[in-house]
Amino acid sequence: MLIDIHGNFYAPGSNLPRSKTLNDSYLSTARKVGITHIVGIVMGTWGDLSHTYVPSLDDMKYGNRFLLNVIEENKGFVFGYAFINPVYEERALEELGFCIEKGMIGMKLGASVRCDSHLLEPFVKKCIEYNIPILQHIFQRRFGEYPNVALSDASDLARLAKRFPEARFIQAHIAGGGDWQFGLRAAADIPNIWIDLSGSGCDSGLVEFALRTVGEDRLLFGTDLTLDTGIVRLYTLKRLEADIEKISFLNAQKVFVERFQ
Amino acid sequence: MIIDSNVLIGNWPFRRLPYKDPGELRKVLSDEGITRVIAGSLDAIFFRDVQDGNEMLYKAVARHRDFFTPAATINPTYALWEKDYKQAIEEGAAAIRVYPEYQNWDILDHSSFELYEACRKDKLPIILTAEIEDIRQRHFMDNPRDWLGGEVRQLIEQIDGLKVLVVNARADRMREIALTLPSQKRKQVFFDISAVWGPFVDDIALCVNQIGVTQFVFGSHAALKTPETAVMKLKISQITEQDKKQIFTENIKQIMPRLVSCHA
Repeated sequence: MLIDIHGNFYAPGSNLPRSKTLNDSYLSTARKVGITHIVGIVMGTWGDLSHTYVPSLDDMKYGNRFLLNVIEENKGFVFGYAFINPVYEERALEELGFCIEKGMIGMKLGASVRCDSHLLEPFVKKCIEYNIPILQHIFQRRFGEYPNVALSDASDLARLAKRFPEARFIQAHIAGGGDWQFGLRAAADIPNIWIDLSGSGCDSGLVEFALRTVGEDRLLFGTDLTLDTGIVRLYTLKRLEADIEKISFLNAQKVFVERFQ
Repeated sequence: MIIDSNVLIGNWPFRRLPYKDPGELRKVLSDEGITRVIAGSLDAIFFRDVQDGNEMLYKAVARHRDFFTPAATINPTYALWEKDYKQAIEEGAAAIRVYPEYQNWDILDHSSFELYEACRKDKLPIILTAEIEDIRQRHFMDNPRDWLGGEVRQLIEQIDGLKVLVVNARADRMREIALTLPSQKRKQVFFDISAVWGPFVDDIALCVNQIGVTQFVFGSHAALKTPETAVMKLKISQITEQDKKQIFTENIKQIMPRLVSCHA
């Protein structure tokens, strides 16, 4: 079993070149490399109708509906995160409830609000109630503010995770750009943060550092936009004699409470 | 057989690299099927006198010359660079690496054209690095000046026959440079695959289709990156097996004729 806990799908009209072919390419390549389960996201229209990481209510709903179709068409292979912008408060909580009722198994947060925003609290509490994890988009270490987004970094997430020890958080794409050493150190002593190993980066030493600081019990296999880097990280872990079963699926089963058959 | 056009040996000031010496790096590269490597000096990027870095490189690879071929670093704005260049030829360098972005000169500086002319005459490609590390993770003191695709384009337009290899560039930068050149001139610019996204996005396939397979070579950007990823993404890319072979092994021989003659 190999569970990709960070997959992306693209709805029609997405603001990406080749978006129509990317879903097929992802599904077929994932099968080819041995992925047995995908937990995916649709980030609205990827910036066409609203900001990719700060989706409007309509954009968010549009992406989530499309993901429900992908899940339906790939039953048992594709699972989903509800992509949520907490700024919409009650309406976003309704959307989360709708998605979970329809079978989604996690919540994905972009950069609509920072992790320490009070707007996030009801959503974290709801996820605890639903017993689902939260995948938080992370810029591993931020320096100040960035235009049009409220990016969280790994230390922001660590503070949130400490406040809600009963919630389960996934720190997104450790190799997705940013200072991964900072990201791993920030999560090192926080037991309710798991590290998503996805991302296009392939820096030497990253996997070794992840094992040393966070440990094999809190590492999760993921791909995000590049399957090759995810698969190679597994090879590296194998070479380092890490427990591959934990990182491939046992840890994910724990985070997602045994959802995968 | 794989030839790696983009390896850097030495120390990087902003993070510890996992390979303690060229022998250990050689083993990691060899394990991936890499049989020949064109290696530059990481230390030279920051040294005032880059020749110190070159000499460290020549010494480091001396016992591994059947595997590592040096790519000397030259700063054409530094006194007596011509002597460094001459030594590079004597040491069997297969390419010249330049870092205008770190060493405070412009690609189109008048003083640098003498170097470019020498490289053209001696059939040595110039290697430019799009980025050493991803901008999102850089240390605040790792602050290179960005060079622009337009400058590379002007350089190529001004010097017929000079070959320029751009390494560790993403697809958008490759396309910015190559697709804005006339098709004949496009044949002077080459790219390694170390920073291009592999499947499922598969920017390798996109770029090969748009720019042409002859303009691509294999490069890993080790020791800063893991060589396994570069090998894997090319292996599973949706391009033909023949194209993969060209990128893994064949194209580099056209760009670096000295590599062939050094190891014939």
